[in-house]
Amino acid sequence: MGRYIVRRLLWVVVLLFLVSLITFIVFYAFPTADPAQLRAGRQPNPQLVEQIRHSLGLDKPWYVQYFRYMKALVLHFDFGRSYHYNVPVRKHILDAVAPTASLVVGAAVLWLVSGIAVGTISAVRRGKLIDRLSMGGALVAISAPVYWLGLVALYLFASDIGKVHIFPGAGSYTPITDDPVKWFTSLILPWIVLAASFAAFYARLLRGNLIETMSEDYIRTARAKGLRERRVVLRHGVRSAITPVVTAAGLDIGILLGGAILTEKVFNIPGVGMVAFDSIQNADLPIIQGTVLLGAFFIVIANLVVDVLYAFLDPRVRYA
Amino acid sequence: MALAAAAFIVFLVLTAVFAPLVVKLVGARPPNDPQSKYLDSFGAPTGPSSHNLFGVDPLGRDVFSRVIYGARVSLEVAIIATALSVALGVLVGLVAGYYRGWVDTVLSRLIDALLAFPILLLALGIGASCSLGNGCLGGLVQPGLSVVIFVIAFVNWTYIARIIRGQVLSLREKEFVEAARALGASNRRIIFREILPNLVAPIIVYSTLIIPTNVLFEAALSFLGVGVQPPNPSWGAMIADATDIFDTAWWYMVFPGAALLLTVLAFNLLGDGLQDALNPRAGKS
Repeated sequence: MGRYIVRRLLWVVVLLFLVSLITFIVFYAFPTADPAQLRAGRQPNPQLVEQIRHSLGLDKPWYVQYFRYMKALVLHFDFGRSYHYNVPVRKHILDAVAPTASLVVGAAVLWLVSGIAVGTISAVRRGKLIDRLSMGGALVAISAPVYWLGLVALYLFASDIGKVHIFPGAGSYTPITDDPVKWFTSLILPWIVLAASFAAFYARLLRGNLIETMSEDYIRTARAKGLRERRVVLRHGVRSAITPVVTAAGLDIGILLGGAILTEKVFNIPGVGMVAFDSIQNADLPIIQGTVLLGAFFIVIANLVVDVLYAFLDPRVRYA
Repeated sequence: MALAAAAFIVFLVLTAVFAPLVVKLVGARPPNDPQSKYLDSFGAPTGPSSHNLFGVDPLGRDVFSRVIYGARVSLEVAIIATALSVALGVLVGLVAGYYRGWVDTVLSRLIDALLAFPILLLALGIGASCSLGNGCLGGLVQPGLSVVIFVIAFVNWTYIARIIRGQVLSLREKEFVEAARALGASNRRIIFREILPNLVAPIIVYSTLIIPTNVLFEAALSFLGVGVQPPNPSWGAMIADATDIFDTAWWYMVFPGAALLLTVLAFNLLGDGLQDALNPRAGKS
């Protein structure tokens, strides 16, 4: 197991290296705008633009630029400076991690709990009214675009513009260190909106798996032993049917930690997604590169965690 | 349910194809016809009425006909992007799975790297840069619809390639492949005449499952301002437009969103139905 994890971690490094190279080439080959021109202000004279181009190293070929970037990154963990804001990229992005993490972790708790509960009940009551209703609802939830759901939620429930004034509206995010209560209430709507489609997806996934599992021989054995139905379903059924849910959860959380762009935008939460979106608008390559690397990092780490978790959940899985 | 969904999709496709006719039959104005007489005295858009079934947008354009024309964009992008990504994914999957060895290693690692990307970010970046001036890849990808199609196809083919590769790895060991080889069939013939026909069922299922995702993807890109350029109507762009005024002009947000929801729902239902029909193990629900 130890060897396996080390080998995987080495692969993570190679993968991140590849991702950084691809990002660099993509944004070098398809520039959104000339960063030197952007930096030079409203009425750039050509001399100033040239000077900025030179001082940012933009007049060098791409591989020289890439080499310089990677050198600073590897040796000093330095992600460079933003072209647009002229601040260190590392701090700019790391400041945005807390809001994104608040959003994603809270939503993940919500969608796992509700998805597993609904999926289990639906599987046990298969074909009954409650199953049909919840699976119908789940399909609708999967099909709704998250930003639209967010707008509808704000229209109905936001305390400033909503029909019923219940929850704080967009732009009310407060850091947990400032005021934990406000932090919590400001995130209730975003959590529900972000969690909706995931909860629905997990409920469907678990239901399908659980129905298949419940027809296995060992479930009959468990019942024949005289175990209570509750224990048969939860300990023997759900325990084995839940592995794909764990995989999906790990990967989804990993992807979202790199920035939940749509939800953050609708609720105006200053997270990584907003930073990334903003940097693309500004052709701010150092920040784009930083957010892509951060996002890729979360994704590959999530992959690794999921694979390791598998070995604990399923005793048959052994890595060499 | 799947049949009702299929009927709805046929209806949707017909609506999209005959959009001008539909709009005329209902008696609505064309989608790009701003009329200030439908704005109130403060210049704000007015809601649903007998003149404008779904109300008007801030420029005084008819939301109903824009929603109808929006179906064109949505379906066009979803279907072409799905076809492209499936074609590329199947080709790469076939080659990697059939030849194995270093070809497989290179392709699989490339797929791993692409799957590690935050795809919405990548799509936004490529979309934003290709939407400027003469487009990108030497003018091959022009700003507008083709950018969205290119971006969606580019980020989606990897999933298909992975699945197909896995299937080909097991298919290539079957007796019928050996038999074909013994008869002197070329690799190309084995791949396309022997193996590919066995993959038709999974390809159909995955294609129908990707279409709704791609409809949502196009809308998300348009919502974020990358994608279909104004004044072309797109559901995502309309919702983005409505973000600033949805507290007063609810109709501008609700109708495009509802159209999007119904479309995606219909494709999801159809996909579920096809999966149950083509995969006996998953059925019985």
